[in-house]
Amino acid sequence: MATHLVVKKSGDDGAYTTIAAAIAASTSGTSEDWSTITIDDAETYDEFIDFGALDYVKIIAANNCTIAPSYAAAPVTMGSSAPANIQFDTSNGANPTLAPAASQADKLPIFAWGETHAVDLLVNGWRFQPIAGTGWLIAEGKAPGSVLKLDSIFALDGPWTTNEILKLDKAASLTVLDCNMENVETAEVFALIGPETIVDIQRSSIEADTLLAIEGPTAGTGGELSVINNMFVLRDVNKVFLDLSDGVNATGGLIAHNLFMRLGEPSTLVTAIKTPYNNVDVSNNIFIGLGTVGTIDGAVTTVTANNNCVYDCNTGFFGNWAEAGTVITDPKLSDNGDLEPDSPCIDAGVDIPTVTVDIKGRPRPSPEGGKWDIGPWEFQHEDPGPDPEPEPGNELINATFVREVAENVWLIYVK
Amino acid sequence: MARFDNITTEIPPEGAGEAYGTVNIILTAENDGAKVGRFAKFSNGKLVPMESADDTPAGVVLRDLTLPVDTDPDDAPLVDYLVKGLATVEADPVEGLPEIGARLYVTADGRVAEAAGDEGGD
Repeated sequence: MATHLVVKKSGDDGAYTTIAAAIAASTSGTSEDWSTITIDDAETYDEFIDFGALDYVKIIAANNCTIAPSYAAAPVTMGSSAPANIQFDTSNGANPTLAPAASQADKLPIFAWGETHAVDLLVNGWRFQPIAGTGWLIAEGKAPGSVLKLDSIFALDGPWTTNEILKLDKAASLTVLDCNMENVETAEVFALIGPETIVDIQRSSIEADTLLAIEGPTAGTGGELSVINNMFVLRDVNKVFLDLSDGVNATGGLIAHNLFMRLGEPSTLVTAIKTPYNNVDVSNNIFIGLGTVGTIDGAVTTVTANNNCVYDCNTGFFGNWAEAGTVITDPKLSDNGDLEPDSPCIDAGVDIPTVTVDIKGRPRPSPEGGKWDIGPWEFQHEDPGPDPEPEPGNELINATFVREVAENVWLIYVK
Repeated sequence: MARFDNITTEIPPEGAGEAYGTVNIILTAENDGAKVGRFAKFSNGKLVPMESADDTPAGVVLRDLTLPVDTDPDDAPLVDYLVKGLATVEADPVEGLPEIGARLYVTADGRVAEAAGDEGGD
């Protein structure tokens, strides 16, 4: 039977004073009735969270609490002796933070599970901010079949690892929605996954040398790819940002409405996409300041590239791409991350009916029934509204204003 | 089509009822109280003031500079009125300046306005 416990450092109203005490008193829930532990104050908790054998347990932060263990170990562990379904959620608009503070920590994950028992972990609305150590990553779990979903996560500045941010060697799926990972900029790889991993990354901003590193004994088994409405910042390193050569995407993939951008001077080193598969659809993306936009690996007949905008790049789609509608011009991005009104990307995309919002969650296309824009942002056309109806006393005539010549005297043109 | 947005002639800040340009169509009719610088309609073959939204404007009543100085131009027995072309008119902007090029409305008393809903009038 599920338990529903509350944690407050003050111990008011019978609350547990530590998270560990609440976990010790919790039982596993079920898929219909999760056990909950609600942290209901804005205090800092210097303790680990070890779920042990618990399953279907949800931590809910109802206040801006901070969990900041100061020992060199993963702050959150789970699935030690059985598969586990765990969630980290928020309520009341809270912005809780996981802020590991172990100065001797190196390449430690914030969330950790082992190689044996699959974990299904959802983290929603939490912030990550390592405040000590030499290199943190967000999650590490090698158990086959694991599922990780990060939703509305904000990774703040901190000593992040220079290797992988997510190490999910054999995960069944990785989902990253509405996340800001710009501050993990030291990472060479955003996510290490297996060839069987289904990847869904949408409406997020990520800075890394490589988005996905795919490792597995059998290339091209199972994985599927959806990379839509993201903003990727690429550094000047001789790497392929999205290299599908090692296995993902045997069953299909859509890479659409993303911005692949090298900050500063254009680079001749960076390659955005490399694919060995026929069934990759690369459409409505913007590429800026790169060496090569797309290459093909192996004996691929054709891969699709529709209506992409390429600007300041050394080489476009190199190889046997079925390329159409490429726009080679300045996409005219505004400072606040949007398309300028005169951007050539407006209404220049190919129709992708499955993509109904942009990176900001605004509707696509705009206006409704119109064309899709290229890039993460959909220019929002203003609704002109209906023509004004003359009210009694006013007669619409075929004439226009030309110029004011005196107060309340206008030159008009009568047609 | 005549270009009406590129007038190079200096237009002094005068009153309403002046015609400008060379592509105007100006006719003459008997006047029965129509106001200079406003739209007027026909009634019994004479120009009379606009009275309602159902009226069909005949044109803008123009000033007649040949009249004796002590003549009220609104009482002139014959007046020119502009059917097509450029003329200055009494305007009744609803809020601020009207948008250039916007189609205009004629209020019940013959002034022009940018949008519906403001009858203006004396």
